[in-house]
Amino acid sequence: MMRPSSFLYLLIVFFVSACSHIKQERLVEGADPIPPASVSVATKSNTIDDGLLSLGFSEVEVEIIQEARGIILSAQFANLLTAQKDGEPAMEIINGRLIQYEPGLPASGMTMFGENGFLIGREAFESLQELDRTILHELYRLRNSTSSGGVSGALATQETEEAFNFAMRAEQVLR
Amino acid sequence: MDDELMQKWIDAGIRLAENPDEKVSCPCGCDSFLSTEDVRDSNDSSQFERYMICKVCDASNVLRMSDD
Repeated sequence: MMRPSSFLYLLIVFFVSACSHIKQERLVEGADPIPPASVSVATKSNTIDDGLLSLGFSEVEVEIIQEARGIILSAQFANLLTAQKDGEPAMEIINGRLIQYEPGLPASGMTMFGENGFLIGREAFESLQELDRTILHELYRLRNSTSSGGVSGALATQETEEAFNFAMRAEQVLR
Repeated sequence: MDDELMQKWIDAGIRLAENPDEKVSCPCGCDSFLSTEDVRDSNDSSQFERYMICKVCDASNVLRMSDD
């Protein structure tokens, strides 16, 4: 007949073995360290932020701000930030918008009309404010520019003024 | 816009951001050079946009820049 101490020993061994098995299963299940829910994905918002409307932004302007927020919060944009740290060019499509970091570009941004997108140059990273303004500026231009039919001096002056103005105002409410 | 055309525009942007007077062919291949025009922000004159324009085929793109 088994002594009580031996029985207790066997019980402990069984318990430890069972716990170890469960832990190993969990490690395999947890092989992906980033659960899907933690990956932010840029999404187009169908609702207009009333708070921004009350601040005097038009509906189109609010949509641009919301698109910029979606870009900034996206996993793809994080890839561009990593590329900037590494000094490497990188391209991402975010909600159908082509955005490329180009370290050789000595400017903050460059509109790419034919691509419905824009480049971010190294000067955009001189400050967070400039980065935000560049994104807003480029989105505003892509949304509102009528220069595809040719650029007159008056049209250029008007569109430049509007884009800089909007970027300056919207940057204050972006984050 | 195909990849080759896009790369030509990027190259044009880099060169004209560095030197607006450089002779840069229109990326569209229309046997013309891009011209540039700087337009300053009236609120902050250190900021400006540099328009890169082909006067033959009307292609254009724009750089956001500053004097700093």
